[in-house]
Amino acid sequence: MLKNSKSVQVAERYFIAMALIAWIAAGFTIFKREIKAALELPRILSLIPDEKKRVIDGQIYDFAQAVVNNTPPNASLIFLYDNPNRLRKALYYLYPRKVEPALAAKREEFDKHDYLAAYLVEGHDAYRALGADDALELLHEGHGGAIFGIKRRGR
Amino acid sequence: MGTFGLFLAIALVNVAGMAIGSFFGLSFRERLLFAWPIGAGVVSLQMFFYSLASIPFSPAVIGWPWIGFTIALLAWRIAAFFSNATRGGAWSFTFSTRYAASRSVALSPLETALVLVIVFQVVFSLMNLVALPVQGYDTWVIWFLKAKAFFIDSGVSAAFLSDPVYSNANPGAYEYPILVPLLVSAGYVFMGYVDDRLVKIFFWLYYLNLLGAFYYFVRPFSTRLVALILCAMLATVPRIMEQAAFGGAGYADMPLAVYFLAATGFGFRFFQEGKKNDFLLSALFLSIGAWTKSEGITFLASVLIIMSAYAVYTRRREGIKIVIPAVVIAVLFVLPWRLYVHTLPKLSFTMVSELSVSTVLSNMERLPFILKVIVPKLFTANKYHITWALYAVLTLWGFRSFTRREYAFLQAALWIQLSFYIFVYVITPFDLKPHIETSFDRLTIHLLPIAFLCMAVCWKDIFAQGDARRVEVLTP
Repeated sequence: MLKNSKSVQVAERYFIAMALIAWIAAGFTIFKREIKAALELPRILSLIPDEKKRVIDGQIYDFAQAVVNNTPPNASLIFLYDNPNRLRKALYYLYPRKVEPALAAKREEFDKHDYLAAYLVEGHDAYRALGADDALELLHEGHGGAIFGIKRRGR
Repeated sequence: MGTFGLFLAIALVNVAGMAIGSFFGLSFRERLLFAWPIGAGVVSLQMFFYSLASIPFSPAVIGWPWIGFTIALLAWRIAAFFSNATRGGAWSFTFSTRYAASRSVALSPLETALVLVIVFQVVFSLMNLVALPVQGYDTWVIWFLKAKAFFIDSGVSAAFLSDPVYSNANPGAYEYPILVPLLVSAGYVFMGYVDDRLVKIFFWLYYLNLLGAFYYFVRPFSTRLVALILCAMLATVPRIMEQAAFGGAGYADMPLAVYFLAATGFGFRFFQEGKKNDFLLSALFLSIGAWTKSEGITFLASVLIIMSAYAVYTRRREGIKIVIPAVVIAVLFVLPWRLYVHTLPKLSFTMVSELSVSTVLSNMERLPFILKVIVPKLFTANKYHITWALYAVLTLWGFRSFTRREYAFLQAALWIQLSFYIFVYVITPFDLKPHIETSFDRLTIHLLPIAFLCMAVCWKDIFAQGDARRVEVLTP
């Protein structure tokens, strides 16, 4: 190994000291965040899987599971939504069901699908109105949404 | 098979990676170090080929070929060993290493502290990753949704990829390369069900590999203290931790960073020592990077062109003999998926849909705005701590290092790729500021390890560390 001059060694030591101090100061935010997350870990690890999903996804997880439990995997459904992010979350759980997202329920579309799922902010009145439609049969209401079976003509 | 199946999947990917690594002159320890990223690339490619041949995924179908291949490889090596021994020749079954063994020296207090920081980061990453399911938007609309679909469909199906509702949440997402979804899908196949929490351990393995590979490349020319300082800094970059431990886990950016690091690390070696295997290893990691994310394609093109031009210019015909197998590797990883995507219906425009000379010229006025937005981000402490500031200081202070071709190669690779990212912002059809805000931080993750490599070289040149002691890289 080539021998360094003493002044270069001293300069390097100062450089290392400054770099480390700057790194610790600038990295304070991430260190703080990690310590906070580490302290939360025992509580998080003690949750059951469904509870962990609810921590991340909120109520949409429970509604998506309700759709999964009330419809077969090869079902075709209309998904009424007013929040695109919640739609995307629901879709993650609904595959492989064929889903047609919709902002409004159109009766002429009912014949193409087996079910109608609705997840709307303050949707209670909307769900009641849908339930009054004789083409729809309420299967589940709860977790912020409602699921209807679509009655086919002649059934 | 549950959790046991998950560990079986991890073991299989590593076995596949070690088997492929043996063709590139890597020592046993080197093969172990790079087993995960190589194995992820080849196993996911294998699964894609199975899909093309309509072979449904199953643990046996994925695993047995690699087990058989490894057994055959071992048998061949043992036969070669005994054949050489009976002929009275020298042992050919040597574990070559780049490093001569040396007496190990105890860690200083500062080195011990740095090792503890790295260990804490690694342990914290593992615990936090598997504590909760996936959280990031792109994970549940792109990467993990595709993984789930591939698992349920038991293959990559055109029906899913052509579905505009599921497959194209972000415009152009259906065209993204699929290493990460197939790798995650392999985890589900071996487990027997979808568990998007436990499978995140795959991303922890990438994080582990990022740090291990970085130390491996830097240690030969740096003192142990400097290598540990830079490794600890890399381990704590907030943008990296976002994907290594927090809500960004599951994105493909950190895996891509590993491939970029390995590609430039071996490319650096090639420029230094001129060994064919380093060129081919660089090409392998470039190719797997292109199979991981679309950004890998531009990196593959630019870095392979630079390395090939150097090889041919300095070695003429011998250089061409090195370049040809590298191009074959690249074609193997890139072409099948690009051809497959070409057969799918166009679902949406993409970030480069409006690429044309007139668009480029008319949009150049965006450049000052783009730079005004991205430069302050690079010096934001809660995104990058002191990374880019330190990079700027060392690059300017160590400007003489540019006379070294291996260092110039690293900087060229970094800046050409950054230029591509800025170019996409110039031509993007999307709203510019939101596009930058939602993507730039992730794109820089790919470049961070290369920036740290550059810093290591400059540091060494500035403080005249000379030829560092060559010690076993995995011992203190």
